[in-house]
Amino acid sequence: MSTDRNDNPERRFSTTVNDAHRNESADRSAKMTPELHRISDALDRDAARMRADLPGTFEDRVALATTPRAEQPPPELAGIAGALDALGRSERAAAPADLEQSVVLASGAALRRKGAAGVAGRLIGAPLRLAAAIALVATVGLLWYAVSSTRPGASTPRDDGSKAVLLASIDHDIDELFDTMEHELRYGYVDDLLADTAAFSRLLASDWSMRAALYEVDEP
Amino acid sequence: MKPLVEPRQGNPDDNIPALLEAASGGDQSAWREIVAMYARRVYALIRSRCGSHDVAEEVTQSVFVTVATKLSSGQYTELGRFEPWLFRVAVNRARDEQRRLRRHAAPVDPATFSASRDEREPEDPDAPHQIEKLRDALSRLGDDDREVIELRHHAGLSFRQMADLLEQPIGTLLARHHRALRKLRDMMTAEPASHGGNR
Repeated sequence: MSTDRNDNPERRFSTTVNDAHRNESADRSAKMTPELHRISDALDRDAARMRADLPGTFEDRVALATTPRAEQPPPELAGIAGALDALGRSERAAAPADLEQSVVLASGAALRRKGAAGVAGRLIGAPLRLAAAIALVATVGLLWYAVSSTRPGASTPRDDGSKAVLLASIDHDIDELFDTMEHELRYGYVDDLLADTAAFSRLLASDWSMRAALYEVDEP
Repeated sequence: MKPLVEPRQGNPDDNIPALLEAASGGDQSAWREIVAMYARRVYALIRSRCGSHDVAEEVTQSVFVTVATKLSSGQYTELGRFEPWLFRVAVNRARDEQRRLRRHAAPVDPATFSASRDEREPEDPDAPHQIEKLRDALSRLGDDDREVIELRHHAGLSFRQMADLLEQPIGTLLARHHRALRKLRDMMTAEPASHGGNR
């Protein structure tokens, strides 16, 4: 048995085509300036991306590309296909006039439940995260309360003006936090809610030293 | 509420992602638009499969309830492939209904059967005789052949959408479609006496 790959005419043809393509590419590369080479490469990449984005398998694409109007039945079956199209139209037309209304009536409730309780739905899907968020908010609130109120044993703040500015800024931060939370709750952004509360909690903790200095309280 | 888009004409999918997003957020007008686009196609598919007008309407409603529920609970994940997904739900529901009907089917008196067939006439008085004959031939086609025909001609899906739905190569579906067309053509040209179970 011969092992010469050129024995097979189909393979020989394929080899010839590949060789020709290689030679052509080599010729092209030799003649191209670096700028043209870059453009050529970019076009090749773009073409490869477009090929990859095409739906279906490679065989499907070949079948569709090589069969003119593949979705059309052959002429001898066109009559029956046309009659079936007419039957399909007839079945669609035979639907009751109020079909769409009755479908919306039956199915709209499923959507309304979501519309009305979209946030709740998502929150119910994550009860543990919600509980964690509430716990975080409570912690932040307690921290804020601890900072802003006079604690037994703690000394009077050194500077009433500084204290007022600090409290005003904390009030402002808390307001912003609650505004953000309200928005996040409304749209069900539980992860964002958690992240924001955690960030605010860290901010308060990192500022503790400053507040401790102002209030002359011991650090926790 | 008329269907906005004729099946297999234009590209209704262009508008679908935005409508789905709005509907999944509870937008009723977007949902109405989706229903208007697809309800009759789903109905035609199910009616052809189950035969009864009442069953078809009920099952169509049930299909859209399922779709609405999945949309609103975030279970719709077939982005960009809404039609194949919708009709997969419809096909599965139609199969369930067929099984249920077969389970509960009682022996039918031939007189009752012919009377029930006659009841179809007033519903569609303008339907040419050929359409009735074709409907009859379709009812005698095997399930696999019938499925391809109904998805193509009643539901109005493209072969690409059918390939997505049935998870088969387009070439296979084209061949199945042609084979089913041939069978139907042969049934239509055959003598009425040759009516036999072709399932």
